[in-house]
Amino acid sequence: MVLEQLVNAVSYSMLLFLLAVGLSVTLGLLRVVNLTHGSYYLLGGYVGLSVVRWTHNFLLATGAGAATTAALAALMFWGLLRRFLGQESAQVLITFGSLFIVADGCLAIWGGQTYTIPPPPGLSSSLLLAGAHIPTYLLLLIAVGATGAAAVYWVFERTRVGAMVRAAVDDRELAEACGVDVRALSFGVFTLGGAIAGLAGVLGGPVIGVYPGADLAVLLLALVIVVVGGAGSMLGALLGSLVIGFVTTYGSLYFPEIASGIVYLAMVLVILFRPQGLVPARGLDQT
Amino acid sequence: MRGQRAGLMAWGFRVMVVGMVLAAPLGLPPFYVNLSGQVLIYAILALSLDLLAGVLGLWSLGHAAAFGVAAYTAAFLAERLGVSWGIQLISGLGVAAALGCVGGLVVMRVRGLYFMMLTLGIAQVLWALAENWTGLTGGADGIPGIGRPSPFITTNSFYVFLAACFALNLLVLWAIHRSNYGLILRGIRDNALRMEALGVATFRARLGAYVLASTIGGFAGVLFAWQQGLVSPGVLSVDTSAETLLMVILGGAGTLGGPILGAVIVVLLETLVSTITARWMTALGVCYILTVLGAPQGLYPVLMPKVARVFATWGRWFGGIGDGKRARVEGDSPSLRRATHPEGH
Repeated sequence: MVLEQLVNAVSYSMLLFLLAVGLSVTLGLLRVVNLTHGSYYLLGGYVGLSVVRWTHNFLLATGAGAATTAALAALMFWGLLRRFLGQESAQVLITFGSLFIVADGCLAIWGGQTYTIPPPPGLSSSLLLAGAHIPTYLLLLIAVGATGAAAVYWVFERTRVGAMVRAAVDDRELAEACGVDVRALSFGVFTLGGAIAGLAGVLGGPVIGVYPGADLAVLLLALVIVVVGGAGSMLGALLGSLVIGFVTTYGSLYFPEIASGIVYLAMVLVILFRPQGLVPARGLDQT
Repeated sequence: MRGQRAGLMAWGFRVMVVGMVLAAPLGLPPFYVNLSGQVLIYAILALSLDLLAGVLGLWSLGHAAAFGVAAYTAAFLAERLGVSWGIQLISGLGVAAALGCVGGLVVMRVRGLYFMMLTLGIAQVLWALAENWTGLTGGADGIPGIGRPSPFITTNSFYVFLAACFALNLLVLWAIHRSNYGLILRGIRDNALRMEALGVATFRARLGAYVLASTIGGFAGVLFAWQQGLVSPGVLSVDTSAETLLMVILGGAGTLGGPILGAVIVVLLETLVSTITARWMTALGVCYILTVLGAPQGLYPVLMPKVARVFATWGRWFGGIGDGKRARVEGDSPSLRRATHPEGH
């Protein structure tokens, strides 16, 4: 029981990290609150579902889901958001409008049912580990999430591109003055963030499922994580995901009455005591 | 003397126009009268949110908290205790104001995204309570069977009541926009440090605005409870908050006409387009994006000068009422804001 809950919490946290990391970096880098971020999860999940049904290939599905949402994110950034950097209200309208359009499109194509994507063959059973039944798919999720987090962290902290992104998050103008092409960088980061969220949609399909309204639910969770962790910070996104993952899992176990509100309670507490988030990125003034 | 008289006539003209617009739906079938009433309620809600979003520049994503809490208060008092509607209204406003007081002390410590998320957080916690605290709120089913205030039972008479409430609210907000206090709030939005240096107690001013916005939002909530006869957790949901914020932005934040226009457009699009096509969400989304492309500051600041010009022309025909030069949009121009606030937040 204890181990099962732990695996649940960790695997959920990993999924949340994949969801939130793109949002966090775009927020830090572009100061754009992308309300369409949850729609990438939804679209990725639906595309993954269809691909799994046609080809019975889960790996292909993750690729297709990520590619679709990467294309959507690129289109949104290049076609619309690029012109409205720094205009908060315009961004809210654009990204919320896009949320509506994507949600409606998905509803038209896939209908209103709740789907769960069948996990890859061989990973649909559960493992008896120290007297606990652990679904093997959750272990895969933990492995993928941890690898993804490590990869993203490595790119962010150890590579030249990562250094450029961090520099641009800290001080956009100075980075530009040093010859960093912040616009190209922003485009890349935005697209990649969309791709990772789409990937999370396929990976989350067997656990959370895809259904109309998942976009908003997931968006709110991702926003909470970004705020708890601190916008623009990779470590913050990871820590925030762990906090929210554990709070959700154990909260619904011990306080089922307010399970849906407990995440927000946690966020309010964090903001009150650490307004800049647990691991703030430098250069962002929020208070 | 002549100027005073012209001013009086301009006022008469304005009251006449507003009265005519408000009275127009009374000639329509009941469905449209109800719909117009709904527009008025959302217009009050959007106007109250605009005190934060437009006038103070704080984007709240949890304005449903005030709306919903007041609606639940009125519903609870009406259904469980059967008190008179005056007490329902006052209690609803009181609870919303108290929520604004307590919540304001918390949320006014942060800005930007963090303000958005804190307000969202408070509303979401309340929403979860409404969903789960079945004994008090009736859970997901909500509280049904709320009666309307006694002499305003029929569709038309209740609409007249709503219209009067709306007009009163508009007058109050107009006074706030015009007052020194409104000016102080706009000053805080544009440069809080400068206002502080001028000796303004900025925290108290902002807290006051939050309480005010919350109370007026609560007013809309009580009206909503009466109109629908049913209050369910939806009134506290993020959908309500987001929708209200979209109304404000769509119409034009920081103006009086903007949030009203936004409420009209969003409610009508949602209701009327959904009777024509199932794809009303796409229509709404496209509408938002086109608005941004065509009028990044919202529709009202773009449309208002054109409408004002027409009215000014009419006014000249009817004997010098109104003056084209004076027709300006309350609020500000982006260039002015840039000029007074070069830091660019």
